[in-house]
Amino acid sequence: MYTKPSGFIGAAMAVQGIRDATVVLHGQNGCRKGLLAGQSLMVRTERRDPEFYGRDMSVPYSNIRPEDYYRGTIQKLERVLDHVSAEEYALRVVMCSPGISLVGDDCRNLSSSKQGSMVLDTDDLPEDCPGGFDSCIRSIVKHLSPSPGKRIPNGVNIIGLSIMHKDWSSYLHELSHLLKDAGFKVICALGAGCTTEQIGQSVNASYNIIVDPMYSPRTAELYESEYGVKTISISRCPVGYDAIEELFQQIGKTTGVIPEHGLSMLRKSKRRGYEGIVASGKSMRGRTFSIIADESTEKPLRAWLEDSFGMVECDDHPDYLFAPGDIARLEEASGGCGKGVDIGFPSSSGSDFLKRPLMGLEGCMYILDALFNDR
Amino acid sequence: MRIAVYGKGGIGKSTVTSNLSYCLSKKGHRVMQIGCDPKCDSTRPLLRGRFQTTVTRYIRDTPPSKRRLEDIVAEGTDGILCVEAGGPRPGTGCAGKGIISMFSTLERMGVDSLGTDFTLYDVLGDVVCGGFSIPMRPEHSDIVLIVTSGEYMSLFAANNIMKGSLQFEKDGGRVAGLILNRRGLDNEDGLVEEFSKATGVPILGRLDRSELFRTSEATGRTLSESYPDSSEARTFMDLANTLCGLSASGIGSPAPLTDMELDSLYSQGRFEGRGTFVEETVERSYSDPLPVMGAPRRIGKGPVAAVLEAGKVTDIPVVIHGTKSCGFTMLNEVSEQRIAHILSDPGAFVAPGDNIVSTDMSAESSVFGGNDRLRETLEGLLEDNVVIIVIATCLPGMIGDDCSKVISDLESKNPGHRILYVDANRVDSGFDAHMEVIRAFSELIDPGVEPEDVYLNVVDDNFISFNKGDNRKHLSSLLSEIGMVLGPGFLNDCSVDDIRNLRRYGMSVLCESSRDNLATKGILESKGIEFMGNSLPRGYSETLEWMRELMSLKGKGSNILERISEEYDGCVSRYSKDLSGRRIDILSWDPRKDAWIADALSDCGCDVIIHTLGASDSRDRRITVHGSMEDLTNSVGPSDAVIDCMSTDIAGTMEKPDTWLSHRASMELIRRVWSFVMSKGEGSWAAWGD
Repeated sequence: MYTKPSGFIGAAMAVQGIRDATVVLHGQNGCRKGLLAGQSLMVRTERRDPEFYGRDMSVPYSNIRPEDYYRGTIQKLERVLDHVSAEEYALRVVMCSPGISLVGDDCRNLSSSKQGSMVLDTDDLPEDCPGGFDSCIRSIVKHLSPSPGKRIPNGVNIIGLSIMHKDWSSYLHELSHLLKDAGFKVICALGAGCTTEQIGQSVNASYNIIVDPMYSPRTAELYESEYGVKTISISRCPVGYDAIEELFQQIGKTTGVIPEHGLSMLRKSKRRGYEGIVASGKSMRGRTFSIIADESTEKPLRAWLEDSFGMVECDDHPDYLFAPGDIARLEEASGGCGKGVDIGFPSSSGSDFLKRPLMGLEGCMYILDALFNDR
Repeated sequence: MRIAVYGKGGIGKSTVTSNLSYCLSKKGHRVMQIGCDPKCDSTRPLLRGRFQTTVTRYIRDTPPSKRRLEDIVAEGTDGILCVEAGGPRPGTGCAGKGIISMFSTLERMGVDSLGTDFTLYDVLGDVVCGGFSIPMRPEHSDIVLIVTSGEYMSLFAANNIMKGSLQFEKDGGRVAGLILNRRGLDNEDGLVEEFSKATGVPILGRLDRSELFRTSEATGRTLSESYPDSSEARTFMDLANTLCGLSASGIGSPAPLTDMELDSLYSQGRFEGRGTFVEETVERSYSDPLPVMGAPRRIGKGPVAAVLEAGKVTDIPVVIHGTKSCGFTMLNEVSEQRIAHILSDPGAFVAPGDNIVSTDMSAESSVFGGNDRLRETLEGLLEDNVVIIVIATCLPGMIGDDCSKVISDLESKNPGHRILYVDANRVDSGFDAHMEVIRAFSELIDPGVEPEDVYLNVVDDNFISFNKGDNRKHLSSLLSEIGMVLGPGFLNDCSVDDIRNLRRYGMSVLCESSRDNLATKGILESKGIEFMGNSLPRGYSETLEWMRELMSLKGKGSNILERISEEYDGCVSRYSKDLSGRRIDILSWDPRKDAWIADALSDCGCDVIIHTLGASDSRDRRITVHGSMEDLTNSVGPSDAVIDCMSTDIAGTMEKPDTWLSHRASMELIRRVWSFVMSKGEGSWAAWGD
């Protein structure tokens, strides 16, 4: 039984995944702690005022104290909004902690008077993390309300990819490279290292390529209905060769442009995988695994492990546990599994210097490495 | 026009509002009435006495995708649209939050599309918290009407409502008038007229007590509908006509009275001049929080500290009673702590963290209260667990959940089960939260268990201190020299059985004499646990003294002391030829605690200077700085190495060593300083980020 990240966390990570945007937490430091995980997922290095940032640089907060609960909190929100100025960030997204929503201060009215800020209604967020991410990205696009310009025929957006996905930047780099090679122009990766300017241009794209279908349904629907941007989606994340190939084929089928280079890289990656497995002299047949992940990740990973390696799913002391980094590590250390494999957020396992995404071709190598090497 | 009708509870707001709604509708306007009172009976006279589905209940029971406006907007007499906010059961949840939720829900569901000419809010006026002030805000209402009698409490409430309205008057006044609902007091009109004059708020209508109100409402109708020709109905119609002619822009700001002025008006029956109450605009101090009764005392820190402490016990569920985000945040904190343990001791058993359970209070829980979520969570866990600990976070405290009652009910239904409870919202600090948890766990200690002499048990509230580096290994090694072994400790990685049998592990020792550990010692001593006089030794000199005490207490003999001195002297002699004469600066919060570092380097012939902040101290080789951290770092002169025991993040310094226990810590430190001094500098990787 694990407490998964909430919609609140998902929404905050969506904002923190936009380079020139920031969450402004209207609340107490205790509520901010869960949001600080974003600092290691997309580094913000500027030195900032401890009054509004504490010892962490990623999320400013209004530092609510006991007396504010009866005196009102709006003055403190105004202070932090003035400090985290519009010159510094193009977008400041105010998120109220659950306690603050009891006070009933009129944050929306204050925010509307401050250029470049919006209030995200945290009461209305879905409870699950992917839903929170999706809902927040949609709200941001609606708030920015970009004016559609001329359609870019080969323009694509990447949606449903968040900074919470394992080594998101490596996968974004890989996918962008393969798409570019097929003649597409990646305009914006919403919530994954993009800027507000790129979000503004994203409405002119021809297609939205969905990476994780749980993180993007409402956003995709908004782009289709409001801006006529078509959706390219498979029902799962591109984890394992089969799902990756399916995504490439879906892109070809929808756009009429076959990503030949991508398919060629896929073949090469398979060959490398094959040679590595042969060299290891190991067989995974009958080895057990368990996965703790969103369904969109769990489904393709399970299928790949079962179909390609003859592995067997088992919840009781599996040989391999694929789970968020911290869980994987703790389960391994406590003897709950043979080997814990870090497949994402939350993970405090350090920095990815080597490429270690879960999705895409590099992701296949990461999984193979975890399976066939002892460490 | 949107009209918020306020007034003291029981003063007749619902009666006035529903009659006004009826009259405005009869004049041909499309009208909506929204009851903002948890009693949810505002619209009954418009619905033939029917109760309707309240918005708060609806949002609790219906997922967002299935919500439809027509489910909560009922059509009443003459096509008047009726909405009731509702609220939690008395004594639970937060009614103000219910109002906030109602407004945001109605807005999202498109209530504006109903196209009304008049919207009337019927609002309880005794409660003046943020939630109940929402209807008077400019985005929701154009004017405010206040129903009052000549009674003191009624005028007091009216005056308070005016004070509240000043918060939202940037664009002009909003309190359009008073409606006097007479109670038959002597000189009642005169008193309210004086109040009206003093505050500058006119009396728009006057009503008498009448049996017709009761008889009409008994049939589920308004008086205006049942007795349209009565003088009372004519008064309401006149009032409706007045409202139709009102313009929000022509309303002046009220001048509410100070409490003393109101008192004087009431006792003397008259008042000269205008009210002088002025909204406080003094710039607030952000550095000195005021102690406030009723508000959460130490937001965040108490609950996090309590969960970190309770999470050290590995085999019982730690139930976080709070929101899902709160639960996730705390699980992360516990995971980080446990991962730090893995890093420090890769071979050690570490609990996986799946015993941290959240009640996942939702937005609805903050309206209706979280008792049910807590009960459901505990009932599920009691099937497989005999002991559980519950930590209440800020939110249940703020909305008044009675967790103790839920827990005692469940304990009496499940004999033999223990549910420990810590209300972390009510503690003053992280320290108090720690102690509350330890106190709760200490109740489990079995007083009948006999001690065994072979063990030494380490009591360590700051688990990092003992478990980082090689401290545990070095202590085990020292104990094995005299035939002793380490007990399971307290509290980190303990099981419930370890705690129950704590007396079995004989003598205990404090990891360090910190405030937390000393308080823990006090709690455990009251349960019959014995302690050594000295805490665990830091560095060479303390180790000799500590081992002497232990051997004497246990009646053990060994040549260990000679061997310790021999190993240490060998190390000093080897490295002092490179270190002798070097200047080493140490930044320290607590020079006494870090003295072993200075001692080891002095033994090697180094010139050691300790820099610290705070009180004066005349000891040699110490610089005490009375100023900021910057002043302190500036006090460091040209040196061969700076050892940073303050975690200042100053570039180029040596980090404080993790291992401090025994003479081996001193030896490792000497080797590290030697390698630092002999190395060729920081390197150039920082430039890669340019």
